[in-house]
Amino acid sequence: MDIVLSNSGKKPLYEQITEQIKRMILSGRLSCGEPLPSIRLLAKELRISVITTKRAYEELERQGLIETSPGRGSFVKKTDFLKVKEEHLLSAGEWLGRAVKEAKSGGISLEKLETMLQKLYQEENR
Amino acid sequence: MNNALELIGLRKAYPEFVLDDINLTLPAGSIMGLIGENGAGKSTTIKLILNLLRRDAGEITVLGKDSKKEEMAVKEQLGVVFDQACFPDSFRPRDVETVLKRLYRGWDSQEYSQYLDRFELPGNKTVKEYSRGMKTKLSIAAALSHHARLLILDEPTGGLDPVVRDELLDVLLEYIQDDRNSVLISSHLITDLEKIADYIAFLHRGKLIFCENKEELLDRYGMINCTQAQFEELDKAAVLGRRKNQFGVEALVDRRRMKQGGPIERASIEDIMLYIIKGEKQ
Amino acid sequence: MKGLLIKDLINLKKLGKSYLMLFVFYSVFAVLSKNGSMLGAMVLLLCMMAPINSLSLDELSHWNEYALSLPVSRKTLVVSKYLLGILLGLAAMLLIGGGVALLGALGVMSGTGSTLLALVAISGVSIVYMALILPVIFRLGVEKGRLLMMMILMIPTVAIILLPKLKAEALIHWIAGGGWMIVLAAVILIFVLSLDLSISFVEKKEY
Repeated sequence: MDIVLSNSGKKPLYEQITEQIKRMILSGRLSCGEPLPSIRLLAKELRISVITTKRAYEELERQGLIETSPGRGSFVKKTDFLKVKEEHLLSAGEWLGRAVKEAKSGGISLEKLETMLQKLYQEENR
Repeated sequence: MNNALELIGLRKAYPEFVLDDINLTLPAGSIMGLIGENGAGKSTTIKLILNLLRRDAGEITVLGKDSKKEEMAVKEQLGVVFDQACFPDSFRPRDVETVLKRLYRGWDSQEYSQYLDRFELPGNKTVKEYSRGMKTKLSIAAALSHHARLLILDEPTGGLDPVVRDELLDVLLEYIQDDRNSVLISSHLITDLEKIADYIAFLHRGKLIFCENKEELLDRYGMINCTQAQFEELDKAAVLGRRKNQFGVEALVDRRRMKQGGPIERASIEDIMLYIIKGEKQ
Repeated sequence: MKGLLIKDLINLKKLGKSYLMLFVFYSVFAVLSKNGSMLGAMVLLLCMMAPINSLSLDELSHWNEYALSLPVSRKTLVVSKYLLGILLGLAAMLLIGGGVALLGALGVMSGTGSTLLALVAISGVSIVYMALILPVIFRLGVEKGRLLMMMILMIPTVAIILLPKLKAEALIHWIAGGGWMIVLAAVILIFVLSLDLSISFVEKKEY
C-alpha cells in the first residue's frame, strides 16, 4: 500500500491519508475485506502521530469504506461501494457540466477539452 | 486503566514563580508533548510527578496509582530520561546494567543489549568519553530496558544533532506500538514533537494554557494574513495573537469564533504557541 | 540497596587505584618501622572518606535526581552511604588487624596487642568523624559543606593531639576496665543519631 504525505501545510495529514486510501479502495487496488495496517503501524511507518492515523480511519469508517473491530483491526468493507461511486460520479458530472459550459462560452472545441481532460487525469497529484 | 497520567490541581509555589492549577490527562497508548518556553514550568512539572520536588497541592496518579502512596510500584514502571547525563563518568554500559538490574525488578538484559547494539554504543568506552548524543541514547536504552509503561523525557533533544533526534522519534513511535505504553516528552523544540505527538500540553509562566488532542487543536486554530484594515474589522475575541509588519498583519485565530469568511490557513503547533505568547504580551 | 552499593564501589574504583598505591606505601612503611598504627589510621580514614567521595561524585554526575526516579527510596539513598563507610571500614579493619596479628604471630612485629587496640580506637574515631560529616553533606551538598567539613575534621584531630597531654594513662585504664562499653555505646549512639538526621534532611530535600 503506497501512501505519500505532503507536508506543505495545505491539506491536513489525516485528510491526505483518507483520500489516498479511499482512492485505492474505490479503484480496487485494495480489495474488499482486505486488512489495513493498524493505526499504530501506519503512524510509525509514516512517522506521524497515532491520533492522526486514527482520525483518518475514523473518517474512512464514517464514509462507509472500512470497518474496524476492536482487537481485530480495520478492514475494507465488503460492499461494492456503488453508492459512494455514484456520489462521486454525480459530483464529477456536475463539475464536467461546468467545464463544458466554460469551454463553450470560450469557444473551446470538444477535442481540445478532451485532450485537457486526458492530461489532467494523468497528473500524479490530482 | 485508561490514563497513564493524571494531574489534578497541581501546584508548586516559589517566591518568583508559581506553577498553578495544573490539570492534565495523558490517555494510555499516546504520546503527549509538553511544550512551553524556557522557564514555563515543564521541568518543575516533571519533577513533581517524580516526587523530586514536593507539591504544595494537587493529586498525581501514574498508571492508576497514587504517586505518593505507591511511589515504588510506580517508579518500577517508569522510564525516565533527563536532559543531562546522569550516569557516573567512569561507567561503561555494562556497569549501568550491573547497577540497574539490581534496582529494577523487571530489568531485561536482552532488551538492553539490543538497544546498545542498535544505538551503536561502544561497550568499552566510559560515559565521560561519550558524546552528548550517545549519553542520551544510553539513558534511553536504560529507560526502555525494564518494561516501563510510561516513558518520561525531560528535554532530551537539546544539543542533539538532527540525525539523533530523528532516531529518538523512531524509538518513541516503536515504543507505542504496544498500546499499553505511553510517553510524556517535554521540549521547547516543538518541530520534533509536532509530527508524532497525539496530545499537546502548553505551559506558559506556570499556567497550563491548554492540554488537547493535537488534531482538534489544528482544526481549531488557524493563521490569517490580511491588511491592517481587514484586521481591524475582525472580531477581537477570535484573535489570539498577531504580528504586525509594514505590509500587513499575520494573526492566529480561533476558527470557531470567526464570523466572517476569508482564507484561514493551517497553523503549526509552533505558530499556536508563539502567537498565544505574543497575544499575552499585547 | 545492593545496587547502590555496587554503583558506589564501581564509581570509587578509579580512586581505588590511588588508594592502593597509598596502601602499599604505608604497608611498607609500617613493616619497616614495625608500627602498624599509622597504616591503620590511613586506611581507616580512606574508608571513611569513601562515602564522602562517592557523594561528591554523585553530585557531579547528577546521579541523585536520576536515582530518585528509580524505585529507590530516599532513606535507602542515605543508608547506602553509611553502609558503604561501615563495610569498607570493617573490611579494612579485618585486613589490617589480620595482617598485624599474623605478623605478630610470625614474630616480625612486636606490641601487636597495643597496635590492635590502637586500630580499634582509630576506627571508633573514624566512625564518629563520618557520623559528624555526613549529615552536613546531605544537608548542604559537598561543595557548600566543604568548609564545615574542614572545621569538623579539626575536632578528632585536636582530640588526638590533646589526648597525650591529658591524663592519658588514667583514661586508658578506665577504658580498658569497663569504660570501653560506655565509649562503644556513645559511638553507636552518635552513629544512629547521625543516620536519623541525614535521613530527615534527605526526606525533605528538593531536587
